Amino acid sequence: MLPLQKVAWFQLFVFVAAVVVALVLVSIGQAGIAWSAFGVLGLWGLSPILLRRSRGADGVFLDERDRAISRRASTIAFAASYAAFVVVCMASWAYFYGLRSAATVSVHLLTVPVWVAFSVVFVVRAVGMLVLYGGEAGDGGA
Amino acid sequence: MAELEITNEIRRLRFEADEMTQKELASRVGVTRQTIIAIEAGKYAPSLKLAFRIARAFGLGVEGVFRFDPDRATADAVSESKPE
Repeated sequence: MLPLQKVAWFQLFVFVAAVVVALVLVSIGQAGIAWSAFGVLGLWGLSPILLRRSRGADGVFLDERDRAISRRASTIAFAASYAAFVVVCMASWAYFYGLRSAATVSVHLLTVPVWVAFSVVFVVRAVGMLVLYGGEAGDGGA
Repeated sequence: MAELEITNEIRRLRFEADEMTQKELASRVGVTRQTIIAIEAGKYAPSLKLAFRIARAFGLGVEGVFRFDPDRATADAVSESKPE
């Protein structure tokens, strides 16, 4: 398995682990702190270590195809992340000011669109890389 | 999935070059073995720089290894623009 594939699987595993922890907290009646389970996503910060350890014996561990796949997956992920951010912001706005006619919203709500966008960019990038490594035709660009 | 319009003779050339392995070729041109596999299978078109490196590994020019197939490119473009 190539280094970026390992990183992608690791990031997906961390995301699934965070969702499972959140669901467990909700199921045991701790819905109030369930959001904190997404702190597990901080483990994504360990991805560079995984990359460093994946260096092959011949020293080649990332080549132009890896970079092309990473670039394409990042582009898709950024677009998805931006779309998710806008949708969450507008949905919140419609829900609180439209449906509930709220005069104000909690400041804590402001963090939600940010971490949703943050999660989407990592998850979509990871899935995108795995799909692209799966055999889509591409080119070196340069 | 549309195939690339660039075809190559890498598999044949490796065989003729003392049955050079994909790993050996990858090591010579500075990429991973998976990239060589993807190029051979026509799933990835290398950059010009890598194409030159691969050609040099066989002692050939780029056109001795890679070919641009305009018919395939035209066929892809026609099939993509054809209405359902």
